[in-house]
Amino acid sequence: MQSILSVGIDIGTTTTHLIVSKLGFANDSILNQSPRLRVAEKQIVYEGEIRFTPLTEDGCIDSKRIAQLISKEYLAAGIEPASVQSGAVIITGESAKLRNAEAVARELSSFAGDFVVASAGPNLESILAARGSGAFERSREQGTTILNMDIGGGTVNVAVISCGELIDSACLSVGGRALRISSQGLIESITESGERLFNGNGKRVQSGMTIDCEELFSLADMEAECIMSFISGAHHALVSTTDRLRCDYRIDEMCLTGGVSELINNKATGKGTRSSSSLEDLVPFNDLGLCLATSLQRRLQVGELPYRIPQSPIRATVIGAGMHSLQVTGSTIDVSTVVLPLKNVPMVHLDPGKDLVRQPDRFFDDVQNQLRHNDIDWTATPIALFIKELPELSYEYLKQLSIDLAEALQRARACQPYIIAVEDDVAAALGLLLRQRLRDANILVIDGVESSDGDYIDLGRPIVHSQQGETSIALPVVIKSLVFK
Amino acid sequence: MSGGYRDSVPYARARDDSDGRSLNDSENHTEKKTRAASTPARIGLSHVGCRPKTVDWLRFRYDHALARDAVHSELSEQFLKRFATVPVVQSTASDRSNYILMPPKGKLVDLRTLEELTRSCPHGRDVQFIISDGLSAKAVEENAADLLAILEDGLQFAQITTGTPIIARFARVAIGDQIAYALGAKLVINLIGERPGLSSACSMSAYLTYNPGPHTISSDRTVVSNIHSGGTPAVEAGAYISKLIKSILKAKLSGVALQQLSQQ
Repeated sequence: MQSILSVGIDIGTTTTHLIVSKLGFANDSILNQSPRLRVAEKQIVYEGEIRFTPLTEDGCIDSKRIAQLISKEYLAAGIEPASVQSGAVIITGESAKLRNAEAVARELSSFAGDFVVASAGPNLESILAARGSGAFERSREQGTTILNMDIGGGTVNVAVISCGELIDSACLSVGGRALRISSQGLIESITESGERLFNGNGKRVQSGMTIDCEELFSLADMEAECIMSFISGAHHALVSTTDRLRCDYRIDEMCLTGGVSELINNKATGKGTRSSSSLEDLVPFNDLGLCLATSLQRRLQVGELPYRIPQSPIRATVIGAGMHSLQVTGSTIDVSTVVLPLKNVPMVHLDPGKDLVRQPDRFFDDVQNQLRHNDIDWTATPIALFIKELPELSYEYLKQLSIDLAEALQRARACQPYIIAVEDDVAAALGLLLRQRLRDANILVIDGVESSDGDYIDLGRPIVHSQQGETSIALPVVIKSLVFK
Repeated sequence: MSGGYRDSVPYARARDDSDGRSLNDSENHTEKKTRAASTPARIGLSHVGCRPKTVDWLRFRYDHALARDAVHSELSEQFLKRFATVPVVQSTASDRSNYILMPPKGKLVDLRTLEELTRSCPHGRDVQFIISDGLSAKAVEENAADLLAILEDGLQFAQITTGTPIIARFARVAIGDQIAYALGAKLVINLIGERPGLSSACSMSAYLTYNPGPHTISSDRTVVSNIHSGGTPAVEAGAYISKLIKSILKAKLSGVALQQLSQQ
């Protein structure tokens, strides 16, 4: 079965790194049914070095240096941007709040073969980490509820997965780098959230102060306590970026990922124990990371929940980034006339309630309104119409829908190719009906597309497979959002 | 499929037993696993001692009843009215139970019926449609119309000629061979109700046979199965089949021979 190359780039608060994986597809359906592909396996082909996220003096992401970094990684991995068919650039944590984050995303997008997804948001990060760590897969296979906690430099992202589905997520804006400290104990800087956390607990800390090992550990304990109580459902108004966890479920086990979790893993070497008198040993990265790892580990061991740390904990988000957002459509009809891949196609959501079918005008206006809101000219750029949940899948209904769609598309003098994405399994049928009405047009209809709140869609190169003597084509697609909060 | 009693028994598509309370203190592990499996199959059900929960037992009895009803069902007046212009024939079986007890009778119509069809239906078309009740008339009633409509669209678009659809009662797949041979069609497609299962009583199959005739055996057929609202939707199957028919007519093969050809 075919496979494609996928790249994930994670630009986090503290570190940036890249992963190249090969995604393999399997045909889910049995011999006598129409084909249905899904991503079946993922093999990591190259793991880039973990580097500190380069920032400029005024606190923005240094886009030039990032581009250089990525370019070097591609060289080391031995791949051409053109050979990469899917992937994501994720700007996470505090980095997402930086002024030029969006600009960097777009710049990288054009650099790296124009395939990338760029998005941010605490909940998405949590989901990506849980996917990359294998929590989704594991909870699905075992029917358990897993709490995945990604403890990074700037944030703690929590996702709760039950039987392979996300049921809750939350985020804290403190992490291993809440404060930066020299090897002599001089506090160089404290993040805003860090300040709120420490001062809120009665600890007076400021940059410029010098602290000793004991004080360092008490700060780490404070943060560890905050984190542990957060995953028990406590609300930390000062430092959480989302609502608290609902905790109306029972957790079977925890999975820890992220840079700090990697340090918990390394605790076996014995470093970072409280008896160590040298402060220098406690701050190998000039931050709170190691001490936080120690504090957390102690609490975890005493706690009742079993926990595990996967093999490459720090890479969880980026592994997730490379595979999460990719979906495979059902078999499409006739892609030969449409040039693929197509990137960054604006997506418009349509909701064809039964009424809409009888009111083609409303249909047309619906689309127009959404486009105006996004400043897109329908006559110059091809757009994708996403139709979620058709009320019925009868011939009569689809025929009427195709008539309305054809009329709307022609009236608007929409730019071709006409792209329609549906959730229900009707691409071949809808495509056929549209083709009858739009004889010589370039049409692409895809199905099996899971609904999401994305604004753009990437359509990858077709995957061809045959069975029963019939060749079918599926497309890898990514629905993405280019909105930054 | 609404109906007084059925609606009062909460029927979940996927085994999503959110109404089922576990009888143990901790969550029932297998129940969660079942939810995760998202299959209509009856696995991981709760129990009291060695007995399943009443609601699960009732559902089972209900599904079994649906399956049995489907096997004994016949094409309704309503359905036949919808296809008023279409000839309706009957196999050599005398009635439904004769058909079920003596399967070979479902493979043929009698000679008189065959002569009538030969007189009234067009000859030498590319595709001949047969609609058979098979082992579930209900399956055909729910799915055949939509599939046929889009299939006709698709074939017309591809400029493939079609004959008049023929409805066959107490019929098996092979009845299509006899009729299509008599009408000189290149390919026959038989839409037929599958034997009902406990999770689906209304599933239809489409059997496609190139060059049908007395020489035809099972391996000459290409099948698209599980056509129903819980499987491949009828409209989608129809569109898929129109492409499949194009391939079959081009290769002049169907069934195993076609598969082997495409694997080369």
